[in-house]
Amino acid sequence: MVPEALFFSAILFVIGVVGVLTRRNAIIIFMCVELMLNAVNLSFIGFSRLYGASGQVFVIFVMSVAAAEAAVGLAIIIAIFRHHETVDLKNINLLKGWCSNCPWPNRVECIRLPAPSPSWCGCCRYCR
Amino acid sequence: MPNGFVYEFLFYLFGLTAIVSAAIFVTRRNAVAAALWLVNTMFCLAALYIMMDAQFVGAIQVLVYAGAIMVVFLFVVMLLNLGLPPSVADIKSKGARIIALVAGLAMLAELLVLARQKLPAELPWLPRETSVTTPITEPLFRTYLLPFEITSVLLLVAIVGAVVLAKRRS
Repeated sequence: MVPEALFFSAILFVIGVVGVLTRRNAIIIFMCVELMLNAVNLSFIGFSRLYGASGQVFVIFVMSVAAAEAAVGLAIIIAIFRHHETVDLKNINLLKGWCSNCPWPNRVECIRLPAPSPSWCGCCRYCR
Repeated sequence: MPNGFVYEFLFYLFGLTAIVSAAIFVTRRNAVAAALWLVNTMFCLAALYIMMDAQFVGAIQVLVYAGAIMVVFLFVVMLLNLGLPPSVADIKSKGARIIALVAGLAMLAELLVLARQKLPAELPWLPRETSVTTPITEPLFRTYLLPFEITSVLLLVAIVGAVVLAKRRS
């Protein structure tokens, strides 16, 4: 049954990837990452049917790392929620330098502004 | 013996249930419903582990993944009051969905080609008299003893980090 297990594992992994690429809720994206870890665990178990019990040991390691990742990641999400009042990743783009509410979402036009316009949103550093 | 018709039927049943649950999980808008569908997927995976002679890992899957980790997720969803469907669209725009579809199909094709490689013969099943933890303990406490010990440090760091990050600054 190992080829079937690898088949299921591939499909589950791809479902997780598509979820990460299409969703915007940070918690759901985290759950998709957990789904991808589970898919890899399934192929580890499948290969442990062929190559011995080391695969099961790796599954245990993956589970402990996933537990640590869930704890730290959810703490980060709580901290972000406290700061932004949202977990929608559309609104969390500090590293981009401008915000999604910005009326000039293009950085070049933002810099070209002569002075703080009356309609500046003040939420990104190029519009400030 | 684990090679009869019932075994194969149950294997496909649990595998397809896991895939269908995962697909429903990805498309739910409500975070609580999504988490519960993911729990269903994890239960089905635990059944698959048990059917592939990894009984201990199956039990750990139910206890740690479906129990502890998903409860933490649900707890955070409750804490942030995200149970209601969001007013803004949770799904990304059409372009992002098309890119995700193309990337997913490409990755699926690649993984399926890899999964069709010639595989060696399966190992014999464990005799029924042996304990389920016996095959794991040998590699875990001999070959992988150092990673096992480092994992404890990792968990300690994760606990401290979670407390520091989630603590309300006064």
